Amino acid sequence: MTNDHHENRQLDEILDHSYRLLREEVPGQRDAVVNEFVKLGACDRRPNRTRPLRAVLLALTACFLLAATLRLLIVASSPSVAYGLESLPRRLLDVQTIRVRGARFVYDMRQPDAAPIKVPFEYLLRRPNKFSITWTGTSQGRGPVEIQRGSRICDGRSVSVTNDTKKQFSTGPILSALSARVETEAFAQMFILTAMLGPPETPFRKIGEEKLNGQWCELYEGQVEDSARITIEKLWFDPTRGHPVRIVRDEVQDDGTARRKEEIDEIAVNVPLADELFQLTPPEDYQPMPRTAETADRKLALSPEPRASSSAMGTKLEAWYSWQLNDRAALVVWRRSPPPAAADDTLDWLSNLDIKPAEPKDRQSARHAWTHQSGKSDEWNWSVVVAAGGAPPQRVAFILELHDTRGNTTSQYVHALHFPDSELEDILVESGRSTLPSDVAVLSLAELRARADQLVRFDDEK
Amino acid sequence: MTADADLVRRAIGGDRDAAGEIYDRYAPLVRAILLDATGSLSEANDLLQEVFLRALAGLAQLRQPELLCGWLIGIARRQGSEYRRAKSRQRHRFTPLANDPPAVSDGADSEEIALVRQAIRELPEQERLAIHIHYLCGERAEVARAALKLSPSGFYKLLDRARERLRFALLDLERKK
Repeated sequence: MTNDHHENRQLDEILDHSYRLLREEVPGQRDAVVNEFVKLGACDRRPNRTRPLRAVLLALTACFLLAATLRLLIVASSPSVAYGLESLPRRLLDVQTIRVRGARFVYDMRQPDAAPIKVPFEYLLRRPNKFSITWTGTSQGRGPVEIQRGSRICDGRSVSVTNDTKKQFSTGPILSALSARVETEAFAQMFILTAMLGPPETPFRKIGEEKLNGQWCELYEGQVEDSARITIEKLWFDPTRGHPVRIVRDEVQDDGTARRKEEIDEIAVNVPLADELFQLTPPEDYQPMPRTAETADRKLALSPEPRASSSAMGTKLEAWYSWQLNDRAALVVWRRSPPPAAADDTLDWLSNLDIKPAEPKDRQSARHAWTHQSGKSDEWNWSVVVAAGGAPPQRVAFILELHDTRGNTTSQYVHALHFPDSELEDILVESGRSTLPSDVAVLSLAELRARADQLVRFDDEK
Repeated sequence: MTADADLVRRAIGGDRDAAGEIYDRYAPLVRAILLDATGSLSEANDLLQEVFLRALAGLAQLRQPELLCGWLIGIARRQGSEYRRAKSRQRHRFTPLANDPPAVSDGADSEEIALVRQAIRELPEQERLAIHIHYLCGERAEVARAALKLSPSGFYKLLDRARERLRFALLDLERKK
């Protein structure tokens, strides 16, 4: 894809160069044309009168065309899945830099009619291993709403965190070069993509076209409903640049009105981002943050700690990184609280667990195969999971749901990160070192892909 | 930027500047279309004058002034067809593309330009026109709407297709070279 981008630019340069000559004027030709035009005189430029019969025929044709156009418009305006957006996740894999700027709107619950506080945010990314993200935290007790802001910055060697509200900072070396690389991709492929397109279950439909800053954009609308609220996302997609250029998110209130939740008004890719943007120089009045005990094992390239963890009423579900094996399969590393014992005292570690593709596509289901079953709640499992049936998903992502006997559910969203094969081989080896017992052999990429293919074929044969 | 319809109305009223502006706006595009038809830049430049004189003389016939661009393209195409018919009657071969005076001093450059032009000429007509519009016109989306009857997204899809085809054609020509 980097090559594609490079080829595109090269093609642009070649074409631009070849068209240069066509823009050059032949000396005197313009004047000759204009002088001839002036000589024509006014009478030659008078409009022709249309004969009555011709006018009637033209009117009938116009009516027919109008009817046909209206029919086409009615068909065209019916809701349909967005086409222009579908390849965005793939395209973003190949950009070198991304800059996203916007603002979040924070409301005071005690004063619902008061104007919201606009909190700006910025995400910067420079592949292969640099990123900078601003974070916002809000809380409200009995007093007014409290907002905390800060940033997390990785320059490829160290990670810095600031709390700008408390004027604190911390800086420490990153675990390994691989860790910086993986974290950067996690930020690009999960965080930034979700900032642009919302969660994978957001179905977008094209609702029109609109000019934004002089450029025609396709306008899309998507709606996502979580347990609390419905959020409506509007997205202006620039077909020439191949990415959204403006996004607004509105939250539907109980009374049916919508209020602004977030606005992204700048998305730029492949823009120059200087090294300094990824280095923290704390202001003089900032104090070091109190350090927590370091748990990471510095002999490992990737931290074995969970990436995400959720629990409900005694059940626990944790996910580590997940790696994309092909366009519909992933290696998912996960663990859970012990399942209830069966009558013969055996434990089925897949019981009460649902795995499903994150994108709700017709005829698509997730299929699972163990590559390592730990049999323990504090050790990691390795599973190959595929989204089988239907077209390959835009994002290889799955939702794991663990149900308990009382009807409580805890879930984890697992987004498989994409890497080139040459990197993925190394990543698999390091993943094994971090999350598998030393006596368990790590399967090669080819072996994992063969398992994924078996799962897809099994589904087809059914 | 003045709308085409305004320029047409002013030109019909005898406004010299408006006529000049129409020429400035569309001469490169018309030149490209004529180059497709003739294969020779010098022939294209000769015909260009003809096209604009015909068009400006007949401006009053244009019932939808906002479609000026499409109308000019139509005249340029007809002019190109007439040229080809006349040439075939004379049983002369078209002037080969490579015989045009070199565009730039560098030999490798002019060879590259010849290759690109050949690849562009082999594109389907709509795609060729989309490429011309993209590289030669200011208000591309507006011009595409008037000339190709396409929405902006339709235009960019057509343009993508054309660029993809061009890329392969250029690779192919490069290999054959």
